[in-house]
Amino acid sequence: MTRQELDTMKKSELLFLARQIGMNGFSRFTKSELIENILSFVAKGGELIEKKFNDLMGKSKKSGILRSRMKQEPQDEISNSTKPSTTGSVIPDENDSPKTSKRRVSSKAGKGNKEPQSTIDREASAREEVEKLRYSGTPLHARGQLITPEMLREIDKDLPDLPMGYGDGTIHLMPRDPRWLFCYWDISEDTRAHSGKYSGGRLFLRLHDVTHIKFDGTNSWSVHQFELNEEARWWYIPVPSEGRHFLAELGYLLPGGKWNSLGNTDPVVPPPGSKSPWVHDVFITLPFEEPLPVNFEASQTNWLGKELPPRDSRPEMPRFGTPMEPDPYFAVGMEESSSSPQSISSWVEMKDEKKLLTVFPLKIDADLRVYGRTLPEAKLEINGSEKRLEKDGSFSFSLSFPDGVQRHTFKATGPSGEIRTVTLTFQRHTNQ
Amino acid sequence: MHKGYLALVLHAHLPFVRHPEYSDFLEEDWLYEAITETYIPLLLMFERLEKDSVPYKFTMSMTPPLLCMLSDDVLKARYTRHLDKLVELAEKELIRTADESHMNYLARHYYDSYVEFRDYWNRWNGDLVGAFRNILEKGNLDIITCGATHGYLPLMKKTPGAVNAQIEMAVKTHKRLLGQAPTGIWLPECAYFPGLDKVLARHNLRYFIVDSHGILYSHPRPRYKNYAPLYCEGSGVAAFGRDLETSVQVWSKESGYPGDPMYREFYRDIGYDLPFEYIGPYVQPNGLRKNTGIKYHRITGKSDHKELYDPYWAKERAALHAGNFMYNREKQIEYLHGEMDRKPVILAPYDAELYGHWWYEGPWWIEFLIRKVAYDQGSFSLTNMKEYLSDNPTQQVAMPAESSWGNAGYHEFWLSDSNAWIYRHLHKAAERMVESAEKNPTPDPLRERVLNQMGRELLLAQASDWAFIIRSDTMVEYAERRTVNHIRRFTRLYNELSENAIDESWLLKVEALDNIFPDMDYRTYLHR
Repeated sequence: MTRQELDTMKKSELLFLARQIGMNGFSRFTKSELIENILSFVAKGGELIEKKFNDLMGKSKKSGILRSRMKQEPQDEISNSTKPSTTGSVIPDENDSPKTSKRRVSSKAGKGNKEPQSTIDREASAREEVEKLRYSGTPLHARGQLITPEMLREIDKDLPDLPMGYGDGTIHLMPRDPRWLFCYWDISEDTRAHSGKYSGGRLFLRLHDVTHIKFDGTNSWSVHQFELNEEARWWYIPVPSEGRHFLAELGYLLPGGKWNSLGNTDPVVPPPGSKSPWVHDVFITLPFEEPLPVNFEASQTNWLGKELPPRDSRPEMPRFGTPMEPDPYFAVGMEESSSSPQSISSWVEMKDEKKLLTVFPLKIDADLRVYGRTLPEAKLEINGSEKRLEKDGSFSFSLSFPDGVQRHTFKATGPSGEIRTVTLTFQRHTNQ
Repeated sequence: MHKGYLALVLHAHLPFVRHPEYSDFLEEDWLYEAITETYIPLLLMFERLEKDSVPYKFTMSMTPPLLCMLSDDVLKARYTRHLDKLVELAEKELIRTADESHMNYLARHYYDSYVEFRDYWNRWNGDLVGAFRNILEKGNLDIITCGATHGYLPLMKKTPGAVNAQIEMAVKTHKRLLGQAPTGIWLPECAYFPGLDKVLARHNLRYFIVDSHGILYSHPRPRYKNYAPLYCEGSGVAAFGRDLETSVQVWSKESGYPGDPMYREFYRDIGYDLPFEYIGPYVQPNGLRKNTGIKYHRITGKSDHKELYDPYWAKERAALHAGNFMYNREKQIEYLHGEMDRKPVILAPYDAELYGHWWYEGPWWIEFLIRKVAYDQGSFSLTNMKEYLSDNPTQQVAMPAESSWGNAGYHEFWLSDSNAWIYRHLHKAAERMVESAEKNPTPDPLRERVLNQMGRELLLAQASDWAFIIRSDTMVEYAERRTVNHIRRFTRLYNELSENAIDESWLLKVEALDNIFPDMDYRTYLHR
C-alpha cells in the first residue's frame, strides 16, 4: 500500500517517521532497509501504531507537515553543541575545529535537520539497488548447518544503537600531536548529581603537570583549567610545554571554593615536536641471528649494560612564561583571565617547594614575564621592537632575565599619534 | 665499490571487505582492482626478475586482512567472475574499435594484459598468497607483517591486551598463510609510541618503519639522522626512518613522476565515457557507472583535453624516470657516505596500491629501477631491512619519537572532530574483551567460540581505515557502518556471554559473515 509513498520520501524523513512511531535501532539502516523495517514494524505493531503511522503519512502527503515538524523537533540524539560558558573554544586548525563535545550523529547529519549530502544519498540508493540482488554463489556451510546469504543480511537487525556513553566514570587522555591533547570522559548523571552539579558546582577540566610526581590531587607543578558546559563530552587541550608529563582531572568547583574531583587520567607525555637536546651516542651490537637479550616478562632491567640518560633526568621547574610556542592562551596571566574574553585558561596555583629541586644536579634559571594592556588599536614597542597585541589590547611576553640590571622600555602609540611610555627596571643577582 | 643501500618497501593493504550476503558489492572492487592492477603485475615482475636471475632485494608488507581476503574462497570465486568479465569487455572493445587504429591498439594492449593476468590467475588456481610465498622462498623478496586489522596502535594503548592482539594475530596469520614467521612489521600508518617496541619484541619482530621525524626527534639525537636505524631503548628492536627525498619524488603532486603528461590518465575510464547500452553489463548492476580499468587517455596537461594514451611511450618515460631516480640516489648516497663514517641506508616506503592502480606505469618503473640498479651503476645496492641488520648489527640506541606518517605527522587524522567519537566505543569494547578473557580462563566450547568471535569483531572495528575514510569524507556511510556494526555485534556477544544466554544460531551467522582469523584465540587479550 504505502511502499511507493515511502519510496518517494527522503531518508531523513523516513528516520523521523521511524522515531515517531517508536522504532529503535534504525539509524544505520539504508533507505530500503528502513522502508522494510517501517512496514514490518507497522504491520506487527497493532492499531495504535498503524493509526499514528497513517496520521503522519497523511500529513506528510498533504502539506509536508512531516518535514516541517521534523525541523522543529528537538533532536534528542544530537548533543547540544552550545559552546562552553567560558569563552571560546580551542581550535587547533580550521578544518578540524574541536569546539566542544560533538556526537557522531551530529557529524553525520549536521544539526539533525539537514539532508545527508547528496553524494551519500546516491551511495545509499546505489547500495539499496544492489541489495535487491541475491547472492548467486554456493551456499555457506558453517558447522554442519546451512547458512543462506539472506540470513546474513539480517544480522544487525535487532541490535540496539550504540549508546551515547556508558556512564562508567572513565576519563581518558590521549596525545594528538606535540601541541594538543585530547580528553574524553563518560560520567553518569548520578555521579554528576552527587558531585555538585545541582548545588551550584561548575564543571572544570584541569590539566596537571605531573613530571616526576606521583599525583596526589594537590601536588602538581602547575595546573591549567578549562570551564566546561555540562554537555561537553570531550575537549582538546593545548600542551603548555614540551617534554613534560600531564594528566587531566575533571571535577566540580563548588561555590565555596571546594573542589569535587570526578577522577583523573593516567599521565601522558605528548610526542616531541622538535629535536632532542640530548646528544649521547651509545652503540651496541645485536646480532640479527640471535634472539634479543631481553626478558620482557621480568621488570625492566638495564639490559644494555650501559647508562642512557633518562628522558627527563633533569628535575626542572616548569617555565611558565615560555611555553614551547608562545600562545595567547598561556601568555595571559591569572589577573587578566577573568576580564579577558580571549583567555580560556587560568593559573590556579604554582608550587615551588618541590623536594625534587634538592636532587642533584641543581639548575636554576629565570625568565621575566611582563604583561599588560592598552588600546587594541595602539601600536606597542618593547625596547624599540614592535610587538603584537591580542584582540582586546592585552599583551604578555617573556623576556630573558640574566644577572645584572635589566631595563625595559614600553612605548605605546595611540590611534591619534599620542605616545605613552613606561620603563621597568629589574635587578638579578645569583649567589652560588 | 658500493657506498650505501637503498631499501624499497611496498605496503600492500586493504581493509577486510567481504560481503557474501550480497551478490555484488561495490567496496569489494577495491580488492579486485588491486589484484588486476597491482598484485598480479608485481608478481609477474618478481617472476621475471627471478627468471633472469637479476640480483635484487625488496620488501613488501602484506597485511593480515589482505592475506585473509586473498585466501578466501568466496572472494576468489568472485574475482574469477570479475576477471572473466574484464576479458570479455576487452574483447568487445577490440571489435568496437576495429576502425580506429590508435584505439584498437590500446584495446589490444588491455586485451593482452587481461588475458595474461587470467592465465596467471589460472596457473596459480587463484592462490595469489601461494604465488607470493613462492617468490618469498627464493630469498630476494622479504614480506613483513602489519597490525592484525591495521588498527591504529597509539590510540589503542589504553588497553595493552588490545595492542598485543593486533600484533599476535598478525604474526600468527602471517605464519599460517605465508609459511614463515615475519621478522619485521609495518606499523599501521607507521604509527609508533614508545613502548610499542616491547610488544613487537615479545613476538620476535626485529624491526619496523617510522616516518622521518620519528627518528629525527628521537631521544637522544640520532647520530646518523634517517640514514641508519636505531635500536629502541628498552627492547633492541630496530626502527628505520622513511627518507623524505625519495618519497617526494614519487608522491609529490607537482614534481612527482606519476603526473607526467605521457602517463595514463586515471579519471578517463570507459565505464564513464561509453554509452550505457554498451557498457551497462560491466558497471554496477543498479546502473550506476564505475571504473572498469580500461582507460584510453594520457594525462596530457592540466586542461580537460586529453590525448590518446600510448603504452610504448609511457614505458619509455618510466624507464627514464627510473634512471633519474637511480641517479639521484647515487648522488645522495655518495654525499652521505662522505659525511658518515659508515654506509647509509635510504628507506623508501610506499603504498603498494599506488603502483599500478593509481600510477599505471608504477610496476614498470619499479622493474626498470631494479634492473638498472643491478646493471647500470656501482654506487649502491638494494637491500631489505632483514639483510641490512644482519650485515650491520651495530647501531645506536635511542627512543624513537611518537609519530605517524599521516597528515601533520602525528595522530590528528585519526583523532579529529569527525572520527574521535569512535574511541570511547573502541576502548570500552577492548576493556570488555579483556574483562571477559579474564573471567573465562577455561570456557566450554560454545563460550570459547563467543569469546573468539568477540575478538574478531573488536579487531575488525579497530581498522584504521574506517577512521581514515570518515575523516577524508568519502564513502563515510560505509566506514561508519562498519565501525558501528562490529561494535554492536561485539556488544551483543559480550552481553550474551555475561548473561550466559548464548544464541547459537546468531553466533553461527556472525561467524560465517566475519570469518577473518579462523585461528583466533581470545587469550591474546590477557597480555598486559
